[in-house]
Amino acid sequence: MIELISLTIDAFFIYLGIGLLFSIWFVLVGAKKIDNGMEDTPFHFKLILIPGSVLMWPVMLIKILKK
Amino acid sequence: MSVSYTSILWNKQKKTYDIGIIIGVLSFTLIFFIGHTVLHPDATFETIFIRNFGLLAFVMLHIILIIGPLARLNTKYLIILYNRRHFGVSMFIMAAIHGIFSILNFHSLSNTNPIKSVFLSNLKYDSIIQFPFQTLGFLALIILALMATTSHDFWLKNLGPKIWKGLHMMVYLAYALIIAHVVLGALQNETSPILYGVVFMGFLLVAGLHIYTGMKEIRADKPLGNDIDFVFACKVADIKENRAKMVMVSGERVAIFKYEGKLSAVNNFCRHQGGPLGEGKIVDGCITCPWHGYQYRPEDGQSPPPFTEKVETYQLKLENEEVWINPQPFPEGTHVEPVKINQ
Repeated sequence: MIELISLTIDAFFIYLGIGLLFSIWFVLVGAKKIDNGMEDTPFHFKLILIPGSVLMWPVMLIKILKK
Repeated sequence: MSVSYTSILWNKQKKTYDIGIIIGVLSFTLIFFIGHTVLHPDATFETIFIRNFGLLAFVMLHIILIIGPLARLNTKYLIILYNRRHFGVSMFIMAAIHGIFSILNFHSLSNTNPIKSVFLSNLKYDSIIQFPFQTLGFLALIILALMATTSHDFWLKNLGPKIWKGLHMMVYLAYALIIAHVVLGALQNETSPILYGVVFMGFLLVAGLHIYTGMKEIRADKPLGNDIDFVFACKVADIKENRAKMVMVSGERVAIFKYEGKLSAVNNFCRHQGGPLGEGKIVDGCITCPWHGYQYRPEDGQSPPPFTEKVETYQLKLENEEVWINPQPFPEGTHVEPVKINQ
């Protein structure tokens, strides 16, 4: 059980790590591809999207790929 | 209802609301620190700090969960409902402070990764008394983080209403985890029954209000008529000025508004987050959703330009003092001449 818990937490950290890298690309480039409302948004608004895109990156990635 | 995004569409009400939250948090913290120090003079600052923010988040979560049902029972609570999004994010911040400081205080002094330590330092998962209750709080915090970080119209639009709503309905799972976290934690640290009683009363309040308002809505949703002819909806006197009476026709909730000597009917479902328009009121000539202030013109169900949201409209007629409604909706945004009330 210890190994299973340990592996799950490692996987969680990897998930967050990928999410962090994705979020930087997403707020600078990706979000504009799926939402016209992102044009001319202030920089501080882009910053507040980072936590959400770190956690929800698979959903947003699928949405961008489908687009 | 923004055309391009901004962090927060500030207005006077939102600023007042947020100032209220800050004053509430500071007052609670001050009272808790003084009370805890008097009752438990041996407690360390870290203990009081962690308990304060844990209890504060717990209380705020209860308020968030009962705002909706309370506002359905009495419109005076709509003022708290109006900016629940900020209240929710504030609650998450309190819970995060509690969680982060707990992990730093109890799990950062060994060589083990602190998060792993939360799950591995106590392996008595098969025990009730000794259960590693911190894991439940951690999982609840992840759910609250998902909700708080997606609490913006950008996420509602881009995740889609189904995923977004599903994500935010997980607040009930988070609530269950937090109840278990508090009760199991208390089993290991508390001997007084007061805490259990207070937690149980809080749960009863949340569950009771949800069940009561749910049953009330089921009764109110009794469909009118045969969906073909005009059907009797209510009496003019049943509708307060600048407010609405909700009726169920053709499987849809419809809000009939009375304003400036006229009556108009629109679909009750706000296109923003599904808020109940019929629980809102007319502000500056527009129906204003009680949840986030989205607005629609009563005569055509359209948001005033440059906004683009629109809802279905319905035809009304007045016979003596009785309001009758045609159950067949017009397409979203269709202009319907308001019915004039004989005064």
